[in-house]
Amino acid sequence: MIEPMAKVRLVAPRTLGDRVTALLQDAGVLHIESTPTEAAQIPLRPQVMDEPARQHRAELERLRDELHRLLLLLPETRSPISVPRSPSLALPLEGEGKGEGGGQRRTEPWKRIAQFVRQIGSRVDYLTGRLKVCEDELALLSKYERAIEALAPFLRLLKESDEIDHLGVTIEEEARHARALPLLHEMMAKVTDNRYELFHSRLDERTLAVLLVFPRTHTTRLRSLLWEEGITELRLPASVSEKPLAQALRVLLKKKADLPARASRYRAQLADVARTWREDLLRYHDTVSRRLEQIEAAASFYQTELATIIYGWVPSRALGALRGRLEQEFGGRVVLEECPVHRAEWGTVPVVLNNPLWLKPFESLTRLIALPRYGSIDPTPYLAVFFPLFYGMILGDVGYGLLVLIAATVVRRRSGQHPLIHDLAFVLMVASGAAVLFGFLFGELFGELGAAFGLHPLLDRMEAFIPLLYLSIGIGAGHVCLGILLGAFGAWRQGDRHECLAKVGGLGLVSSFVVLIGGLSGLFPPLWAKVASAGFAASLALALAFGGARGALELHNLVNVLSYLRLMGIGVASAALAFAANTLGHMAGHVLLAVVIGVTLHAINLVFGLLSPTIQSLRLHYVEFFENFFAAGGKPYRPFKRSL
Amino acid sequence: MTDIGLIAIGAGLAIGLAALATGLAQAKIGSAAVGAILEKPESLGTVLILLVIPETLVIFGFTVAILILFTLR
Repeated sequence: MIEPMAKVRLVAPRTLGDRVTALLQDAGVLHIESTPTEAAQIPLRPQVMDEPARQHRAELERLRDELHRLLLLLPETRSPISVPRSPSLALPLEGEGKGEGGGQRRTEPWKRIAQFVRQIGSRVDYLTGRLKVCEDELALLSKYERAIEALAPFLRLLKESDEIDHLGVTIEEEARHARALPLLHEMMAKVTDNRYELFHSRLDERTLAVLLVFPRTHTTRLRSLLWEEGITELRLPASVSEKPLAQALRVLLKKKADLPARASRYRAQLADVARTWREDLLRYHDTVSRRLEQIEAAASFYQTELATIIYGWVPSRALGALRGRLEQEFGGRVVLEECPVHRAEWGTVPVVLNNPLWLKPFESLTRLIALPRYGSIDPTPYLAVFFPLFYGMILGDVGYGLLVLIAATVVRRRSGQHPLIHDLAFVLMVASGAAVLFGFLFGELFGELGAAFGLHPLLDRMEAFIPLLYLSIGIGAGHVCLGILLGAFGAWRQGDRHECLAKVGGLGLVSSFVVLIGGLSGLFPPLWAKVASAGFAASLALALAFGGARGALELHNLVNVLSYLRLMGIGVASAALAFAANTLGHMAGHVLLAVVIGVTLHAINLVFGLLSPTIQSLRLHYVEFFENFFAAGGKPYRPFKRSL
Repeated sequence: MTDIGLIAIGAGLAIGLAALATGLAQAKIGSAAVGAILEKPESLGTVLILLVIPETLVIFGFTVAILILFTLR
């Protein structure tokens, strides 16, 4: 059902504005109306922010962003250390006097917090900056790690000398460089006149790291020759690129040994900061965000010289409690009035669906199409009855039903964080239960395999086409008639008598049409057909007389009734596919092949069984059933409350 | 050709042509529907309705085929 709502007007002295806003946020039941109908009748002045207030808001936004940034940087800790060193949060935020110095007093606590956050921020920035440098260098070194490790043993053999230079190269032993090492020896011998040393070590299957030692006078010549031969010289990080290779590699080796310890030290210090301050920063973030929400909400308030006026909607059942809290907090200085809600306003009333717990999951199916308008009918209870019925009738198989039930139960258990999937899984559990019951009625367990387990059909879907056809039309007529009745009731409740009578005419059209078909097909005595003909004509006249051209649209319900033939059509198709799976399995002639064919086809049918009955059942509701009474376009109820 | 053969052809045409028409309609609606859902995911419910509306055709075709098979046989 749609929750009854009360329209309220709250009048408070302007000096209490902040405290009232905080209380409303804490209560979390008031949907603030920013454009009340009264605004057009009474010259109300929207509450506007003065320049200091705007600046204050901008400061708070910056503070919130900074807190958010710090919380992202600081690791989450399990054992916070409580130290009473941060500025107190018992802030005089609300109810500050507007007198001399009031604004100053209002912003001072925030400034203290901002200063504290800056101090923590600079410490966190320093530590994260140093940590980042360490991590970047480690990542860079990992690129050189293998070459450094390969050349390190040779470097220990070298002595620093102004006469001797060395170069590191890597050689890819691909086809083109298959003889690279002998060629390198040849080139070195030629250039240095055999005054060189060459050490090499394997990096991987294809790559060699080579250290060349030679007189310094040949450095330039060798470099250019290596470049011409396409041999890659070992490129070192920019921080050591100017140093001689041996020295550079020693520096890199030392760094490689030091960096992890340094990084760990910075991480430990960050964790220490987080343990000490993260809880406080979280509380500040919460408080600042809450304050900003209050400021945001206040933009929808109205004001006079002395009073703040707030319009909004409260669920009627919560009105007493809210009034009690205001009375307790402000002792009669704040007035909460309930205003009359006129029918013309129903379109602006926010909508809350309030159904019993077991019906709640079915609200998801209603919301999938739209929220009903206030004052109209909530179709959720009808969906909860007819959706499983239609789903069960279409799937109608004990085996498929049980598999879907198991799958839906598993999904529901694992979808705790996702309310929509949680709800839809419950809906599917109920619907699959109905499919099991219909499976017993149709005697189907993975098709006709049920017979082997003593399952006998009370209504065989593969044989009793005509009875099923009548059953589908009968259910369709009943469902459509219920929709028309709800439409008539809704029209009567809204005071639209003409629409109500036109709906009654539509109801007569459908019921007389069904009796007429039954009479003509021999289901009912011939006399019934004659009476139904007269009833049909009278109903059409009633619909046209009170509904005008729209009344003629009631005839569309006759087509809608026939649309329920899908209950039979899709169901028979599902049964036929199961039958085909079993028959083809039998024809395979080999047990293993029969099982493979049977399981594959039944799996395909099961996938269809999940999708098709769901979509068709929803369609019968959304198109054929809702058409007669459902008024979409409800405004969602969004109470002003803490968003964290 | 026997009467039974003609009845079978009639039933086949009833459901086959209806299915063809449904397929053509759903192809057009489906391609537009995908675009609509990408632009506005909350329109899923409405799009679903539009997508399955032509299925009534094939249901009617199926019913006519059943009636042909069971009343003319």
